[in-house]
Amino acid sequence: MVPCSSRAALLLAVLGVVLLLSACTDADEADTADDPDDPAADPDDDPDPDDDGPDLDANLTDECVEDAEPGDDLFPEQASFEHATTVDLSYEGTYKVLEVTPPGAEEATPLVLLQCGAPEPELEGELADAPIVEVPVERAVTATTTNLPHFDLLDAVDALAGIGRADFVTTDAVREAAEAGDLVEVAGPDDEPELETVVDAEPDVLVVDGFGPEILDDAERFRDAGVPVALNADFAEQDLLGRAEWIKVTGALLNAEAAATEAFDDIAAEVESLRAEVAEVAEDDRPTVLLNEPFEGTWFAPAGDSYQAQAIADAGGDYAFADTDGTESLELDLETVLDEAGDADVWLQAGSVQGTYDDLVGVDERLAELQAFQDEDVWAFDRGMSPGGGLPVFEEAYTRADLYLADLVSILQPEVLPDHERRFYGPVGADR
Amino acid sequence: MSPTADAHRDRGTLAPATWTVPPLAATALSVGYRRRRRRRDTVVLAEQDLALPRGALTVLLGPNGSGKTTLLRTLVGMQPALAGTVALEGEPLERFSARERARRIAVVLTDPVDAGLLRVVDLVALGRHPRTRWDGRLTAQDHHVVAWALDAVGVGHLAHRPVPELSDGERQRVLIARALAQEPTVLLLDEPVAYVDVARRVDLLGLLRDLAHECGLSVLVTTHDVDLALRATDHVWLLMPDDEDGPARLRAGAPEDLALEGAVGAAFGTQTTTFDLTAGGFRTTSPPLARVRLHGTGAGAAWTERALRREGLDLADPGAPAAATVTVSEQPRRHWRLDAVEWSSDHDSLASLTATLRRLVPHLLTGAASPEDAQHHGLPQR
Amino acid sequence: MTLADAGLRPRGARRSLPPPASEPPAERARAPGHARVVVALIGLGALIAVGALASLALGSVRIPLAEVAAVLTGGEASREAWSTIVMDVRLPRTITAALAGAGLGVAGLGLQTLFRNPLAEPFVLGISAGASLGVAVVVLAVGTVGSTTLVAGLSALGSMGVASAAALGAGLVTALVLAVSRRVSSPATLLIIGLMVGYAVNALVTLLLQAGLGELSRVRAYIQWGFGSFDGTTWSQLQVLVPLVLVGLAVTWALTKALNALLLGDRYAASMGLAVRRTRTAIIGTSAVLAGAITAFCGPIAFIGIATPHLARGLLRTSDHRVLVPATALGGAVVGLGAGLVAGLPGSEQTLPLNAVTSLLGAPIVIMVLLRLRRSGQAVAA
Repeated sequence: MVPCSSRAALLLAVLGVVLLLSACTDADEADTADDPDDPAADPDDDPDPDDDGPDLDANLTDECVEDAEPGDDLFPEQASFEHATTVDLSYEGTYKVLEVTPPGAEEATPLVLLQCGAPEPELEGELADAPIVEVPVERAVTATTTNLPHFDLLDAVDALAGIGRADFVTTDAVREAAEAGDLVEVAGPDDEPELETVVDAEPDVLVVDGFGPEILDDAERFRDAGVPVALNADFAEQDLLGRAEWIKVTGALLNAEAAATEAFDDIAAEVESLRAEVAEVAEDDRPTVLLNEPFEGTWFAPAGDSYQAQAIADAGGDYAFADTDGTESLELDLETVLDEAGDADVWLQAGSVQGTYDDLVGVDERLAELQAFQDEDVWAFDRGMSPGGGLPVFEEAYTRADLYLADLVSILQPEVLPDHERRFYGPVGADR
Repeated sequence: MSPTADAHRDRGTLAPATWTVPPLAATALSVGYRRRRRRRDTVVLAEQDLALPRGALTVLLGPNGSGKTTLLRTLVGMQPALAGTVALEGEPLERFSARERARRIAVVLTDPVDAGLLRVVDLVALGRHPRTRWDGRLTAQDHHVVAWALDAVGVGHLAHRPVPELSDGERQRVLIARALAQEPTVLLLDEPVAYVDVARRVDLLGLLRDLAHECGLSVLVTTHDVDLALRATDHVWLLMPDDEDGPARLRAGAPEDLALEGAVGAAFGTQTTTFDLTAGGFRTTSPPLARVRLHGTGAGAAWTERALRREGLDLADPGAPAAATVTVSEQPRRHWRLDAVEWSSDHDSLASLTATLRRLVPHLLTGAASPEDAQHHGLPQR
Repeated sequence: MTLADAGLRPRGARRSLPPPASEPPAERARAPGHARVVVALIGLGALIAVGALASLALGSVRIPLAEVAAVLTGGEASREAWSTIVMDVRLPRTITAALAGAGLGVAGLGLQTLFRNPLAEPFVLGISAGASLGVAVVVLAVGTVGSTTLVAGLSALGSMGVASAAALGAGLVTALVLAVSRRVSSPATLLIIGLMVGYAVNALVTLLLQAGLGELSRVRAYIQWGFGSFDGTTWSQLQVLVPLVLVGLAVTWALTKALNALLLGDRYAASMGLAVRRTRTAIIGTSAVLAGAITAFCGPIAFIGIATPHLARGLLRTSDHRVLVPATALGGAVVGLGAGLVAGLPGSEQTLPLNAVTSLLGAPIVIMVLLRLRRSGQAVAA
């Protein structure tokens, strides 16, 4: 209906303009009041007391934020990585960006960790497609076991909603939670997480190991079903501290960066201290070390740049194949091992603490020719095995690099740590 | 059994005392196939007594499917008898081990043999199997026998050739040589002439007959070639199939006796053929179109008779009326003269004679005015 | 050619067959290929010596020849590791390669003759499938062997456990096949039954593989076993393997006469006195023991069993097992040593799966040999 009089029309038009202008003005005011790019802006020191942004002095670990706006800095406690090379974390006010580069990938896979309660940010570029996880995570399902010690150390086992297989877990607190029925088992017969079971658990995030060509496709499938996936790649770290530093990733998921950083710093300090002590040991006092058992005639041994090779070096040992390149496994035959490591002083990661030396003979009777066998200086690393065959050395040892290194040092340089009680390694047959 | 008899037995030679015992005989023998459970056995031959003549060639003659192979297999022991016993040198067959049997009976079968890369002499030497020791080593005597066997069948010149290179006939002989190398007393051959052409068939049977007579071998050959059996053998076992699918009957005797008794005709005849006793062969049975008198002797007359019969004409008995007369003369060259009512012609060949007769016969038939005329002319009643 | 031309009349007295050896023995026909056989066997022996020496001297570790020789002649090497390598790694490997090749080849020869089929080989009766099933049960369902996944107590199963399981599996399938063979007379039928058993057993292995996917290390262990290898045998295992293979070879050698008789087919063999059922059981049993024992310790090794007899036939141009059995054994040893050498990729730490090497290298060689046989006009021996 067209107003008859032109004055009414003018009045309407003016009203509309005023309304519009006032809305725009509000927005402008909000922007200029709290600009995170402004170097002068200090989140703890907001000059405008009427500002809407929340005033945080710690990350919210138990609750969501209210009245947050894009640009607010919701993460006063931040973590950064100095040792881990496959992961990176950056903070963008209301959200964080976790970038994981799984082995074999050319690019990092980003994950957006958005503070719950905060408005959805406008994401551009490669972040536009990234899955979004609301943090702090309250229901995490993890198909990998290496991050379970993180939850334990950060006192956040109740943030776990599901695991792969309960009988594979060696972290006590998590096993108890599983036995109490608080955790869903999501692994299918092929040990991969089953889509339906995961979705049914309504997790905030699913953590999976990031390897294999289909991993990104699998992540897409879960994401389409409403479950964002975080990739784990700590196994690709070759540095002891690099692996341990991944506790900060779990910290980021829980908004517990402070606790994570503190825990890590303790571990790192211990590791550095041990390294320093061992560094003083002379070259000649470093025992030669052979690793692993043959597997159906082939001997898979880590190459010289790998995690285990570095750990041996840190612990004061001389790894027999330390001068090989790369981080992959070497495939050696018995001849080569006999030739180059037949007279190694110490043989690690062979046999079982529950087994006997005869078992090794049963694998291949020529193993009895190894010097370490004849000296009975053979150490297994299956201490603390779970009913399903899970090993602490593949779970807790990643995070507790200090304990892991201590085990090795106590074997290779016993005078440095004479009274250490080993958690992961033990002599063959020691626990029968 | 005395040791001497055993020794003779082992060497395949025959002590005089055993001459009266047939080398292979059967008593109340029933032959056929045993069916499982409640199905009735198929009986091919029932309660038959048999005796294989020693040192002679016997032909087991019968139409296809009459059970020749089944009987042969039962006699050799490859197949169990349904009832009765088979006796080898007077002893029940079961009392002999396979090896002892092999030293007495040798067979030539219809099984296809793929000898691979074996040479003729190697294949024949396989026949020494029942007489060599555990490792198959051949002694001088073994080689001697092999050479003899090769010569006996006439393939000595092929001794070093690979078997696959031989013709079918040569291969057949090699298989016979292999059987001979066993130094048997009894030799049985299943349809050895089936794929051999006619002239060679006679050769082959002649060879077998000579072996039988010269070496005292008792030979049994199965075939369905009646003509060959009647001509070339010493004895015939004639398998006469039953009309109602029951077991066959077996008549034994000299070939000529069986022919004259009509047994051959009964065994092989069909509804449209009969065995012509005079001609010694089968011909279609139909009443003759006319009777013809034949004058002449020798081969000319014999073949003229064949041609006339082929045309459906019969020979008139002397003194009986005939529709035409054919005279064969050998001088100066063989020629024929045909004389019929209102017709005479001369011919240089049987082809032209029979062509003329063919045209003439209907005329002769329609020309007969009355039954008396027909009878006078030797024509069949209308 | 008529009988007269061949000078048929068999020599000798009437009623005696053939003439006694008072006559000068016919010339022992010297085979034209006799020299060839001797040369070939000596040549094979020489190749074995060369192959064995190469296998002892070459490996992923470079050991000077002088040191190798010193160790072999009872001395010491300048490095203890080298002594261990030569005596405990290379020497058992060499013996295993030679014996496995010989055993598989001879097993294949026996079965090819028994079944009259050039495609028969030790695994055609499901023997390899049975061994695979035994290993699959142990590795996939029960525990792993020699891996770092340590299941307390089960690592005691060790390599002997795998070998026992493989032998048990092979033995069970063989027993099944033998039981069936008693009721089946036709070799072709038995062959097909064996194939079907193999298919069924392999299906079971596939099921186990799928169930084992949960622990990829186990599947990997099983697949690794399936590659085949001569490297895994130690001296204590050789104490079991060597006697078994030698006994298998010896028994097959003793069966030479029977195998030759079988060249003509089951019926002729029986007619020559061979106990065919017993022989069949012996051949199947021996082949199963050979193939089962070798598979138990070395994994399933393809190709040698089927191809070596053809190579031997092609090389020696004979089907006579007196020559073929030793030639196949020696030839098999050469093939085994050769394949082991190539698979070991001396000088490099990498190795190739033995099964791939045997087939990739062997197949073209066999094709060449067979084509040459064809060209010379001789049939493929069965």
